Amino acid sequence: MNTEFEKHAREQFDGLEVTVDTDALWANVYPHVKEEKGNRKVFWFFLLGLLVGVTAIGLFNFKQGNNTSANKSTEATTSATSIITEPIGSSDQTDLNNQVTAMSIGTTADDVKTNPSILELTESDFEKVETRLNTASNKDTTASSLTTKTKSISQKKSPSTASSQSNQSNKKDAIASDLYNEKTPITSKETTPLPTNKEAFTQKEKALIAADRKSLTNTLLIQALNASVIDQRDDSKIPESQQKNALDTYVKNLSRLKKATKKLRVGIGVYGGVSKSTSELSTNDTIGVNYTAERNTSEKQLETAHLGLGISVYSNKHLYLRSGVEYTRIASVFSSNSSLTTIDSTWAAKEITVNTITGERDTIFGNVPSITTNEFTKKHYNYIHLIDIPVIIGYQFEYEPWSVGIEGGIYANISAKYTGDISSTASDSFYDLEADEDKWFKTNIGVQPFIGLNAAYNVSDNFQVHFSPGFRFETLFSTDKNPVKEKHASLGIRFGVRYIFD
Amino acid sequence: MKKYTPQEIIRGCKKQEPRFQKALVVQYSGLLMAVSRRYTKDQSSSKDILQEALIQILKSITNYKEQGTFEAWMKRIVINTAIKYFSKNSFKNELYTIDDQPENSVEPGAYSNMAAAELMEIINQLPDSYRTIFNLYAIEGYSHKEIGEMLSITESTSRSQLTRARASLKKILITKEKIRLRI
Repeated sequence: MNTEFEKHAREQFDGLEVTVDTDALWANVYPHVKEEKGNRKVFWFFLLGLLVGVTAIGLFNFKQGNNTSANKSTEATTSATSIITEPIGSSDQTDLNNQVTAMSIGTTADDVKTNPSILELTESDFEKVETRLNTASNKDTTASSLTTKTKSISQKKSPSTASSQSNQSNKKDAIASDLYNEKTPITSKETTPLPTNKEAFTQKEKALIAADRKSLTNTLLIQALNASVIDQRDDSKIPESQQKNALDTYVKNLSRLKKATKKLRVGIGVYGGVSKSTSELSTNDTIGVNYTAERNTSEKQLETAHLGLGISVYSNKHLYLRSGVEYTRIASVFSSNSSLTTIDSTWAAKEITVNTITGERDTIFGNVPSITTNEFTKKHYNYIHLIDIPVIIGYQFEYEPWSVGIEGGIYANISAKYTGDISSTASDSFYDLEADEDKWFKTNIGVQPFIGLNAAYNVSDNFQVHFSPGFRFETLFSTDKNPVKEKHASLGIRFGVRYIFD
Repeated sequence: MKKYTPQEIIRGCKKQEPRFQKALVVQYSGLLMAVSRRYTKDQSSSKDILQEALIQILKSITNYKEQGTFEAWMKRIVINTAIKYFSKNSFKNELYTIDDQPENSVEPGAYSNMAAAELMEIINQLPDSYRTIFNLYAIEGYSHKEIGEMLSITESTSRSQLTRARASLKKILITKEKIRLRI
């Protein structure tokens, strides 16, 4: 029985269909299978998060770096320029302040020409000075032993240096005096009148700082450091704010000096950005005329996104080379309309007969055809994914703490991939971009020329943020097999952070 | 409504085209409802299972590798949904007292003229666990090993439950035949 019964049941059930209200079923199913479009938002949030994260890490490292260097213990060593000969103490800051003053005054470029030996400083000299400055700036100072200290330093200088310093001092005084008389804008906001004997010094000091801001270059900084003239001044206290200003100026200038003396510096960083891409579709042959027109009306370019890892090499001649790996995603949207007509039947009153004599109504029920038409508009988000190696060279203008570079070069493409679909040449169907069965698109788009600007802000000696507007020239993405010639170009901006190694 | 080929429906559904998704629902829900109906006692449950299975089919169609027929793949999803719908534990714990085997045998005439609806009604009289195992083994053609994996039971449990299901069916058929003869 079992086998026979089961065989009979199988035969009966094979291909059996049961009537189902498909409209009601579809109405319940559709909300659960609607395409989710949250990916684009996620991508932008990720990009923004990445930039914020990297910037935060950079700033944190910058702060940490400052604290570390300030806490370094420093051994007193003999400098080639006799700048540092004393152990660090409260009075060192006043010495250093004097040095700052001295260096800030500087001399003119002509002095360098006549006495090139003043440029003979080594990197280690600057590092020593910087370390001591950082340490000293963190300590309370009374500057009470200014006279003693300056004298002790002066005594260690050779007679020839002392003579040179004397001349330098006179020159500096003269420049400072001139600047002061010219009423150069002064940034210090001291409001409390200083004692008479200090006042002259303060005014002079302000003038010196103004001179520094106005005319200091790396070369002059070298001269000033090398000259290392210590002014013979009152042993009056120098206001702390002025000391701080002078020290800050000094440290900044020292960093510029370092950059100038280093032949090559290497930086690495990450960046991201957006561009506006243009798409140019033109007909390859007569068959493609209508198809091109259709694509032109149904497709719209969206934002292009960039994400990259960069490596830069800077020379002290203001030239730089930028390379790395960059991912680019060109996005577009393609809208297609379709309609679905469902003919079904529902159980309803089919015929109503009214007896005109008796007034009785007779209703006949039956299957009444019902026609439902649903219109659908689907948006197809299409993407071109590019991986390129940029090779860009540039020339950089320095405006501390800013620098602006003009750059140009190429983007060498190593991969081009397409996802999504576009309308097909055959009506009522779609062409799968990823499968690209007819080989319409290139998998490598070759080389793209690029021009741009690179504006960078130095947050610290080693860390900078930058933004770079640029233009990538039009490139052909389609092969000869494609009935449409498809070109893209992009104009956009990239933001990023960069760490530059010493 | 335009009738699409399975290939067109698969391709369209993989691209999440609503018109092809609806076409799948319209063209296959009758077939799948018949499967769902065999695993449930009431129509309401079979509708719930069918709806859940269709959502699952449309969401996972991108994973369909076109090995075996499309219909078989969808049927399998309906069956799995039905199994999930009922607690798996019921297959382990459900115990039914089977009366002594009926002495009389069932003549083929008792069921040979039965249509699908009547057969379904008889099978639906079986308890959930017997009905499921009977459907899987006798109608769908799964082995006891496969049934054991699907229901998380041992092969021997599957065998014994099938034997009991068959015995129950026999009893139902004999009772039905007796009533028919009296009429």
